Amino acid sequence: MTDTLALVQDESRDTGEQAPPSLRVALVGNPNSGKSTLFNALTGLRQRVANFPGVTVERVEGSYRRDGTTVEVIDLPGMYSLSAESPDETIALDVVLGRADGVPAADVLVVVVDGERMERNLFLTTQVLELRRPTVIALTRMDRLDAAGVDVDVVELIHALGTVVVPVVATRGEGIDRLRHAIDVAAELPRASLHLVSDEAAGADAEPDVHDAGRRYRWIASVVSRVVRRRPPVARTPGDRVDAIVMHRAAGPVIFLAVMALMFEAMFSLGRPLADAVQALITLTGRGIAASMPPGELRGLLVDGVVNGVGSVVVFVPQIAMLFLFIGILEDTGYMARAAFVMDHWMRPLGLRGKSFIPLVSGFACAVPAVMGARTVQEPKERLATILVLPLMSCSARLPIFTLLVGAFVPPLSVAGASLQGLTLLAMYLLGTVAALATAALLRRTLLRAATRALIMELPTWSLPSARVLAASVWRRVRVFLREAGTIIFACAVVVWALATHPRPDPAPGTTVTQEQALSTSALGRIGHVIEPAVRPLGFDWKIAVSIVASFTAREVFVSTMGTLYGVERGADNETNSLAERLRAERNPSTGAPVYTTRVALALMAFYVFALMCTSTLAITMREIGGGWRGMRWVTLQFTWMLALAWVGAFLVYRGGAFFGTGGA
Amino acid sequence: MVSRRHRAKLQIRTGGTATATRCPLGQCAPGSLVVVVQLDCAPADARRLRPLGVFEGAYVRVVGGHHGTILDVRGARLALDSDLARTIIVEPVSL
Repeated sequence: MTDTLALVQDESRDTGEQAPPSLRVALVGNPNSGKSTLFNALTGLRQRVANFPGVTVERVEGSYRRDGTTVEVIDLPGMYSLSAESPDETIALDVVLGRADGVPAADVLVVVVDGERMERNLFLTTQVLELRRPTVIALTRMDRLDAAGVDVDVVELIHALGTVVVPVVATRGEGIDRLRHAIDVAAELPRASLHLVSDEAAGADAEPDVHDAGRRYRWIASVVSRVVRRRPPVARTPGDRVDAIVMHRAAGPVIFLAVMALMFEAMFSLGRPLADAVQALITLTGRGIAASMPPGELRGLLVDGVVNGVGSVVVFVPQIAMLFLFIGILEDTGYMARAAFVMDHWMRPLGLRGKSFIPLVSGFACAVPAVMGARTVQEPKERLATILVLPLMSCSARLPIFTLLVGAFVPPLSVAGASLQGLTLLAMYLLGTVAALATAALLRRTLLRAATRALIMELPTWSLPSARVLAASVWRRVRVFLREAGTIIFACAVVVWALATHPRPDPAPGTTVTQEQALSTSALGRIGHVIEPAVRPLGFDWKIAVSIVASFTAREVFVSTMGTLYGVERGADNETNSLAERLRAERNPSTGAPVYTTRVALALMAFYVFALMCTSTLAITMREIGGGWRGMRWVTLQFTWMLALAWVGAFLVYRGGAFFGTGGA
Repeated sequence: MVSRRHRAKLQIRTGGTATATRCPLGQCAPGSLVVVVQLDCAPADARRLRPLGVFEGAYVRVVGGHHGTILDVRGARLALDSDLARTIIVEPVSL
């Protein structure tokens, strides 16, 4: 969940053990110039790589050793010029100018120039060179230039720019060692004063001259005409033909919805068998422990608390991995930027722009990195609205809840070729999306009124995603999820188990205590009974109330709490059935009617679609809004609003379900 | 779309030559090569456009676009929304 944060923490731990770095390098470049791939090749540290301009938002650092010295590399957010227009560009600019808080000035600037879009990339390059700092230019994607039959005279380019240019193919590691050598040399050389283009002061604080861009581009064009020998320009590339279809007025949105539907369908139908396999493994582990230990407190803790609790969350790893894989593919192929442009037209009436769309879709994976990703939205009020509605997008942490309840209570029927289960899942995601967009529209018309900024978006070249990069990014995210399962969820599972088994009831002499009574008199049972009146109108019993209370820390805890609760109730000697089977078998002790009907399950899902139950999201939102009272006010408003939506939503689904007669089953 | 005041301004800038061929970028047919005459959008948006290669005097090619315009700017593809494309005044170039 705290994906990027965790990465930064990892690095601070790594660097803490090393000697102080002797050389600091900053990677500067346009969004989508291959900067992140080069960063990986330089440092060997895995980091998220995507095609969408502006995804590299968080400060990302790594290091490599060379001749006994440590070289620290910082990968800066992409920018098009040295005039910062958005928060992430401001961060990058501050680091380049050596005035960022807590970031030591870089000894060497490495400007990453995308060979395929050289003219545009050289614009920023000329500005950086005029800062007169030690600079090395890495010319990336040389393999694609070769493939396209484009010839670059690197020596001539070095002459024109007056600095070292190293051609690299970062994906294959070619030229990386030469780049490292050039960095060493650049750090040692004295810097000649240099003014490439204009005679005016190139101070970044000065109001940019209207004619500066023209002058710069004319100079660049003269350089490129000497340096690059290219094939005759193609009027309409194959990529343009693809764009004409996926960005078509009518076909574009249809294609987008089809892609989303396919994604969720695949997640359910392909992910299910994998999840079953993991479930089988967990069941075996539970039985193994139960068989090898004498009955008692410790066995109860291990089997019911740990294996059942943590296991019921781990079982969803295959589906979560698939979701991250799909989002990664959409970003890395370049489709995400096109989808943002297509959706811009439809989002404008809501007061949001296409750029807000990317963080919103990332919210399907996890709200925490998505909230950080909203830094690419330039207009402050638009950004705030995006951040506030983001947690309504159903994140991967809801997936365990949805798949558990859908798998247990929605019949595996087929409707018009699609499975009813897949459609239900899609409906839950749509419900959250509609709520997010409606809330955004409301905010932009009331508390957060302001004019929207124009949409200016670079469309990355269509490309085949690299399996290695995708696998690395999926694994990194799954690892974070597993770590969460191993720490927060483990701790919650143990606490919930303890609260569910203590205090033990005092049986009257001669009678035995049923599991139901034991749970009811436990600390957790008492909490549940206190809450029950508030959730009774939604069709929830006290056990569901207990799970909701426990999941205020993180949504995943709901499933692990259910796992612990029902594990406790059956007792450790019982055969470990799957949680879904147990829920289906659950009966109301007084009436004998099933506790979980389809409409209770749907109401419960609706509750989790809306409720903001994630301390990580609350913390990151607070930080991104700016903290203090202002942050506190917005986060409180956000939390209350979502809880109110959750209650009303669940109530309507439950009552509406009764009306439509789906309550019987 | 081009106001009278605006047209007068254009004439002063370009020495009073033909204005008939000038049009907002959003009206240009896909495939046309145009030269940017004036950025009539918000100054902040103009400051973002210029470093991307859309500056006064720049040659850009319209590639396509529905609900907006897709441009070929020095080999890179740039997508602009329709409101913005309406405020960029260009002059088609015949080859």
